[in-house]
Amino acid sequence: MERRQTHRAPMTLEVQYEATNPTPKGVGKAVTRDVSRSGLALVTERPMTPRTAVAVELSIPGQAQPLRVKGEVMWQRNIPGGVAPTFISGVQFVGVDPSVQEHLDRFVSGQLDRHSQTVDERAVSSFDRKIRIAQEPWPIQMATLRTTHARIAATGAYLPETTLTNEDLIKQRGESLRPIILQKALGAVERRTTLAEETGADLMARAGKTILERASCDPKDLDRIICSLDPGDAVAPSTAVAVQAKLGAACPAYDVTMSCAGWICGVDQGLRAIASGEQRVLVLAGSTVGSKLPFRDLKHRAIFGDGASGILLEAVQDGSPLTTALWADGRFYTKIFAPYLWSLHPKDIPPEYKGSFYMDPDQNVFFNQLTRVLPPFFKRLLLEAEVAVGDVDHFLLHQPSIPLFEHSMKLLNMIPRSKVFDFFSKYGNVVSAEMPIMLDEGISSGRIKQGNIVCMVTYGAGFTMAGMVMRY
Amino acid sequence: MLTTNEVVEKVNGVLTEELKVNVEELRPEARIAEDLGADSLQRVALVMQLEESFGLKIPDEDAETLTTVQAVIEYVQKHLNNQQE
Repeated sequence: MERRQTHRAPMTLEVQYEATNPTPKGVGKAVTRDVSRSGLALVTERPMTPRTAVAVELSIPGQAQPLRVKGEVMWQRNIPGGVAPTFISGVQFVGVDPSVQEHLDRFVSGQLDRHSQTVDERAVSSFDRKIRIAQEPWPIQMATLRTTHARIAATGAYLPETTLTNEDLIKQRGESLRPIILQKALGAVERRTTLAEETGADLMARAGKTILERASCDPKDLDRIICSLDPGDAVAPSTAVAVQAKLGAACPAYDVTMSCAGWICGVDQGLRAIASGEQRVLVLAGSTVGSKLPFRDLKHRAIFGDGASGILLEAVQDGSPLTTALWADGRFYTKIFAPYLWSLHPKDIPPEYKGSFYMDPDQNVFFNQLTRVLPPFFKRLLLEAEVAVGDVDHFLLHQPSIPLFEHSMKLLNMIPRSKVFDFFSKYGNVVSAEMPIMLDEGISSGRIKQGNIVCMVTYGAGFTMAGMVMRY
Repeated sequence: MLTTNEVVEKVNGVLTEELKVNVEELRPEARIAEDLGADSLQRVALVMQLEESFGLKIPDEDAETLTTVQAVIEYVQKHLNNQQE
């Protein structure tokens, strides 16, 4: 019972208030951050000095009439960083009418019960989240989205049957190197490879077919198909239209390009499309980087594997929250570079790499940027998702190569190793298809269970970074 | 037991072979990555060749400290001596 007296239930309610004494007097609209039996925290656009007497009208869901209470401002803080000036004030109720108090008690304790049941809300309430995000001087700019209007109806993947071991690759390229050296330097033991007559669209259509079958979804019921393929099968048309035809769908279909972050970028767009009224969006990713791109260096070729995967997003009324986050920094445009035949050769890439895949041999640039960007990105992603690190059941973290992956694990040392999926040694870097393949394998194998919270973070050429938090 | 000169000569042999550099470039202070141009693959190959040539086991933490020609020579000498004792 003690907790009931003092505990504040985080909630956003609309409030009419009137400051009556002393100045500044005024009437205004505000929202609550939290409400307890004895007071509330009010977020306003104008300051209210302590000792100000206020009259508050609380609009409570399900109540025809607002609750009227009088109170006094006990403390006030400025919330920096917002577009408009914002203030938060602690108001203590004064002389509450017993019948009003009864309503308040019932409402607050009902809210507390609700909050103690949901993990997402427990971590940090929506208002706390906005305040905390506004308060921090974030070193990077991100675009984020959190929605409860969509769910993942099904996952699916397709991995080409042909496996290339390190030994195969070395033999193929006629280099005198021991396979173990590739394994020690990069971490990959084997990877899948597309057949010469197969396209990226073939891989993604196979994954898409599995997804639609699992969701019992007629391809004609799709509203949109978004594909992230590296490299696209052609400049024009998009690879997504080839996938649409192979699936027998009729909806609009297009590609997104954001290197390893491409699939989450597609999911972000799919969620936005659903938030604005669409019902079913198929988001696929594929990689044929390993088999289709020209590589000058064996060590670059050995990093990449082929594969495809994706999810079907479906509109729901009140689903579990899905959160996405995106970031890009084009100053590193030439650090990882895969050209078209007609691409202008960048001046800072050695001429012998013209027409071939290139990665800056100075690995420090990758390590340094990861050190700069990953920790704030991860923190913000979880904050946006209203999830604490301990609430997350599974982490799907990008594995571009084992040394970089190990570096990211050091940067995010609060994550227990047992919650991180191991992926690289058998598939290599599957670019943007990596996240949905891991997700599909996790779900198919039963490791990811209903109700589990999954956090994904991936990054790549650009540089770009993308993250997603979901509850399965 | 190998003399200092023999160790230096043998290390130089491994370095020139694995990093495809001339022996004149192997000044003691020359850095394996920056000056001799070794990429991640060559550094791993170098460590494995050193292990084989000298019969040593070089843990990954130690491998990270082998950043210059001098560091490689000193490391090999020290660990060969430890083995003798």
